[in-house]
Amino acid sequence: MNFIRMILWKEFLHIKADKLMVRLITVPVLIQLFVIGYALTVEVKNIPIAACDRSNTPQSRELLSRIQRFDRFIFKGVFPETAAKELLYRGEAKMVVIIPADFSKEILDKEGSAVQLIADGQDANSSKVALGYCSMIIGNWARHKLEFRLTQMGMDIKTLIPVEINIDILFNSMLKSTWFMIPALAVLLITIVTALLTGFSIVKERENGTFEQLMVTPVKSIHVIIGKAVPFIIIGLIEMSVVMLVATFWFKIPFRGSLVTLFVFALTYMISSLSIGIFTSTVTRSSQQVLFLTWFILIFFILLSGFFIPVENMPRWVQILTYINPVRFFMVAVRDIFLKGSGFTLLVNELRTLLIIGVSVFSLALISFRRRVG
Amino acid sequence: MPDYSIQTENLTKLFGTQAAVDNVTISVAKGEIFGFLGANGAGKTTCIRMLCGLLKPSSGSGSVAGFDVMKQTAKIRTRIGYMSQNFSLYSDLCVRDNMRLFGSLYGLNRTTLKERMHEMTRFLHMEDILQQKTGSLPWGWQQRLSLACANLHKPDVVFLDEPTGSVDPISRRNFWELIRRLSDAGTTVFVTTHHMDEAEYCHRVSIMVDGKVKAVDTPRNLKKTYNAATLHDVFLTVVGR
Amino acid sequence: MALSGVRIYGIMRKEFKHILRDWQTLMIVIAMPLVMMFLYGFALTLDIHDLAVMVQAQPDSRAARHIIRSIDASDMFAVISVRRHIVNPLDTIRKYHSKALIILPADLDRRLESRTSPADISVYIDGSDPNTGTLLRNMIKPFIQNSLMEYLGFDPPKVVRIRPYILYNPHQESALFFVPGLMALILIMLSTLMTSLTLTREKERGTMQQLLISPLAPSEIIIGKILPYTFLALLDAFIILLAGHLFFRVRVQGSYLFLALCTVVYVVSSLGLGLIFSTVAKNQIQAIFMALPATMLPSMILSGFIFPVSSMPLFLRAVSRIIPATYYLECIRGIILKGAGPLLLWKPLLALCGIGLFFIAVAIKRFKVRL
Repeated sequence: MNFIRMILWKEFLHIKADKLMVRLITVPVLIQLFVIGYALTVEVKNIPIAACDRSNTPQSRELLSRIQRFDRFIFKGVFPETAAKELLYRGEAKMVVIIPADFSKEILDKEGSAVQLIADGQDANSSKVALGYCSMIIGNWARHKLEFRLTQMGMDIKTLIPVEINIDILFNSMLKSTWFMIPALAVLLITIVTALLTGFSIVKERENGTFEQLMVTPVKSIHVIIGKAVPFIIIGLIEMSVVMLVATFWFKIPFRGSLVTLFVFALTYMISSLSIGIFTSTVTRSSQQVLFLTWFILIFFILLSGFFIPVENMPRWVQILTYINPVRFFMVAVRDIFLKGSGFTLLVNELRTLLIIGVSVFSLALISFRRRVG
Repeated sequence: MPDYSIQTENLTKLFGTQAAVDNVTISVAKGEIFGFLGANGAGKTTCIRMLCGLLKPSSGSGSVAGFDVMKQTAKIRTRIGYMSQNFSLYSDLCVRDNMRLFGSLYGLNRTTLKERMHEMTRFLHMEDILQQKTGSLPWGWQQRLSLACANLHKPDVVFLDEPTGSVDPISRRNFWELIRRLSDAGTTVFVTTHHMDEAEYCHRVSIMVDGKVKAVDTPRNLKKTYNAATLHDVFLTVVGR
Repeated sequence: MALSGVRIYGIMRKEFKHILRDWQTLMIVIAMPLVMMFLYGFALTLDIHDLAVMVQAQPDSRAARHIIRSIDASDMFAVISVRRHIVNPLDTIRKYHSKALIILPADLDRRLESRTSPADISVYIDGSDPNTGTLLRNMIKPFIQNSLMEYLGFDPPKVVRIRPYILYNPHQESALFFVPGLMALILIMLSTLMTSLTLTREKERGTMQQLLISPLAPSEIIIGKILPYTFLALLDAFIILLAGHLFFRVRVQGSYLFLALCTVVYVVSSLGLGLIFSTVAKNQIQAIFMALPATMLPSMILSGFIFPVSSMPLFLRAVSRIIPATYYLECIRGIILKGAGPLLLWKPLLALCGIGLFFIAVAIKRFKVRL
């Protein structure tokens, strides 16, 4: 036990001696928090749109005015077709709406009228969203027209389809992206701090030659690992707390769960992330190698964790792979604890999986570490 | 049968099919200064590592400070000190902290550690540099500190791997003074070096070539046997063979 | 002072040897873009499908069965469970991790028949993921309504048919979207990172002093050390394009030469940034913690790669305007997807050159001061 204390003491001295490092671990965190908080939005805003109205009838103008009034669009105006497409090519408009010449007649037909929406596909995401908005606006207008016509015929849509559909959005009623992404950022930061810094710490000793010096003393592998891991666990927890404070006080994200649950999950998760760093340090020789290898592994795990893209969107076989991804389970836990107030009972599967993965990866790291020593 | 501090019999280490250390049989008495010579890559460091319990031998047997190198490596580590080629100190820690760290890792309790640190500081005249950052010390001082850290716990055997490195000749001589004093106090010193003039300071010397120990004797006897004026010439003859 | 090509070549050769000896890192440098392409190509998709939906419905309700069938038939939803009675929707959604819970009343069939008063259908949506939440909010009501219309035998006129057409990427192949983005991301990450690492490493080892004492001029040292990484970065760019072509049928519509030109300018500006970091960092780990957030974050999030810049608040849009990745992305997207040339892209290219020159100027100034 004394050994662990000595190594802990040594590690803290190292951290104290490297003042720039301390700043580097904290400042980018804060910057990232704010950038991600404000940059990641699902809502696509300020989309420039142009229109070409070949029909020029009250109906077509009515439809276009609805599009114009939509606050997420910046309406560039009505142009002849070639001019509109030119705007698209030059990038001054991201979408063009083309209303056909016989619009007012065709909308009375059974098959309706075909309205073209041409989107700039360079940016797949926003073009999809822009199309979605436009379809929604046109769809609403169409439904409105339909209801009107039915009323004129003496029918009421409410009596035709006698249902009252009430929608209740739970956990995040305003559907804010920050509520979803900022807790996830805590996961990311803990992962990077614990995996990378622990790995570096071990490799640095090897590079300096002090590692051998340590191993000649009665100190055992497990002492070194714990001694090196603990400071970074503490730093990881501090960073998580910082994220939480900013999340709750600045971004006003509600924290509905229990702090105890969160910290227990964090600690359980860190077993895995630390072990990744320890493991990579045993199979590499230099700081640069540790960085690249750990980064390589982390990219896999982070992209497949549900951070950006939900795991449910991925093909079946990839989803199965994610069952060994600790990041995925911690991500679910953190988001659920924050937004849904889930406790241990609801998250028992996640906790169990994290424990199993953690113990396995740690054992692997320990074996590899011992092997490398002798 | 005299009590040997270090004893090996056919100690071998294979890397693949290459024998880095090939059937080495040596014995070192308590308090002896044993010089372990050889060209670069001859296998000296590998051998030292096995004796320290850092590397597992492929075959053969050996004991250090009375403990078996195959099975009792943990116990060996409590009774030995080690100083590696590049001093292996924590350069961002101060002198005192380095001593405190290694002393306690070698198992010294608080009081004993304090005493020994005090002794060492006086012995090596390090009073003025205790608070200085180790990395900022000149190499000669780092060398002394490294020796100090390896000896705080008064080990039975101390292993020095190329301890003098490229330090200047006067510092080297002073360093060997220290080694002599350790030996007089009863510590066995197992030292590797490629400076042949230093080898003269040893009680006995062995010459390693391609993993095998080709010659073991006192410097004087070696010079007589190989009809050479200096150990340097002895070395060249042995290696040349 | 005249720069000696021979001396630069000497340093270059030494640096190349270092790179080749570190085969682990080399392997990863080459494998990383391939892995990311693989991930983006096969695993990461923005298409939402099979959202988990739970339903409370009575087994004898024909309307309910019809609705459930239509929901399940859609690619977008997947009915994971149907129960007779759901006591607490909140708990149920949390427990089963479902995205939506639809409560169909027991008297649904009756009310649909009699039409005297409307049936109450409640939909609970898990809003924690706003992506899926928004989709559900917009789509579930029309979906249920359409399903009921079908059940009731209605076939209302369409009024408007929407014909979407996505230019430059008609089949919405995500490869055309992520290949340029990946190039921007990987190039800046590797170039900046490796440059700052190699120079900081010399600082750590103390060999920087030796180099400076030698007859080489500082600029020769720097050029010689970073040129190999320029090649490495360009190699990676080529690998990405090649893999994109072979596995994802990405074809460059515009000129390869112009593409290469833009890429070289981008790489040089990334190297300049790496140089700046190497003058600040005292050891490799510091260099890493400077280079990584400075390159990954802006290039992935603020460049317009995934998230639309136009939706961001003003200060972030401003930041987006000063990072090289934004302009490079604009250029290569234009070249690859639109076949655009210098006529259309001279502005972003100029901006890219400007930023690059700025970084290099700062780097040179800092070096002069340091040395």
